[in-house]
Amino acid sequence: MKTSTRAFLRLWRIQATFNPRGLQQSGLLDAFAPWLATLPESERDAFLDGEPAHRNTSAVMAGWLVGARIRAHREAGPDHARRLADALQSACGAIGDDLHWGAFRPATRAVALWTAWQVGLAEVVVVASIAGSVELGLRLRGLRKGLEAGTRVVDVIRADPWVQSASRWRALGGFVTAAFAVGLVASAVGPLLDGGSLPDLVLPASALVLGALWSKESERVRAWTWPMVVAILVVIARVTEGV
Amino acid sequence: MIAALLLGAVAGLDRGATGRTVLSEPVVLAALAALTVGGNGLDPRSAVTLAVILGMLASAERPEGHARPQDWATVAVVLPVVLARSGGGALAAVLLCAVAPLAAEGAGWTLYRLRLALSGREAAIAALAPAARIQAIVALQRRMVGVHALRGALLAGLGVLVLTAFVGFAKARLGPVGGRGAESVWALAPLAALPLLLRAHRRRSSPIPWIAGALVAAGAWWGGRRG
Repeated sequence: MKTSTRAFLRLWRIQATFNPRGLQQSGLLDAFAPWLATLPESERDAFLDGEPAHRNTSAVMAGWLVGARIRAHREAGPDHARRLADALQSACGAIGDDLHWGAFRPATRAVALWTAWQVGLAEVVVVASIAGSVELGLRLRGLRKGLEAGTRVVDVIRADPWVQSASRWRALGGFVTAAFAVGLVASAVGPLLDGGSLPDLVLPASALVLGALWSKESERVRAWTWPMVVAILVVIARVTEGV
Repeated sequence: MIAALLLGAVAGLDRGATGRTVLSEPVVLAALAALTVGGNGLDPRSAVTLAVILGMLASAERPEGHARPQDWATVAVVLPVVLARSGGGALAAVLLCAVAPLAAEGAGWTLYRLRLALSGREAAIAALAPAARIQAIVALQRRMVGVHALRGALLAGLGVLVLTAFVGFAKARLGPVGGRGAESVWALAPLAALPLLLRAHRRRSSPIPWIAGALVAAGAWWGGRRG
């Protein structure tokens, strides 16, 4: 098996040893291992001895980092390659988080939610399969492009159409989420427009207001948020039951 | 139960080892779990609603870095299985959604403890000579893939057992009165989770696609009513 193929397969498990001390350092060294095995012993030892205690990047962009460092090591020597990796890890982390967590994943989530609500669960699996294939391709492509780019990697990343497509993924996520949200609210207020009773008005409004109030509290959904929303909704349901 | 263990292993792998692909999106895993147990007492509408609520609740999740993570992937596997085993119903679904964030915190805590333990292991490996060090890292990576799968499977199994017992106990205590209240809440539960979804998706996003999406959906809805 080619060294680059083995490196790609190992990048797939990059997060397996993620920890607060070394972050992704072990995962990255694991990906470098097939290539390190081809180096003379002294060169390999120098590579490992010079490594910092921790490294971190984005799993989606890790291929760029690994590929570029291997090529730069051959082209410009180990010191230059290490400095390149030092400079690249944070940038790749930020770009990867923006592309994956800020754009691609929310867009996929929005499409999957809309599909579950409007079409069915089996079709969600189809959506996930397509999105997963795209992601797999992106990771493989990153390693290949990094191996081609070497020391020119920053310019290549900057010009990469996928990196530049983050805003389009965000737009897709926004469009589908808005459509899904309107559909959801419409399904709740529909009975009211058809001549519903007071609980039909009070309950959807309460659900939205409570959800909005608690979602403002924190970036993270706190563990107690949802139980409290449900408990208050139960109380409102019981109170309005007799109205 | 075997399906829950297998899907739990897949969820644990994707959540812990691969850097999280879209497979570990809760709506995707919940859909897979619901399809697996679908013919076993779980009505399709409840399964869809559960998957959608889980997807919305987990939408505020972010890459965690040093922070203590939440594990919505395992929860998304467990909840549809428990709902099917409990015979479905609005009360069971509402109870499960109510405990879902607590379960995600608990499952995330096990991942956090595992990572803390790995810190000590990595410090010991760093002290080795280079040749032994790289061998130890590769072996540890390989072993941890299995550990993450095992963690997911065990948590899924434990979650199914504990939550099935909890739902059974709560259903017996709350009875038909609780069931009637739960039906109202269950119909509205997606609305209460909606602001979380909107807030998570609105960040750094241009308003134009939002306005376009809302107009298209509103037009389709209005057209459907008139038709």
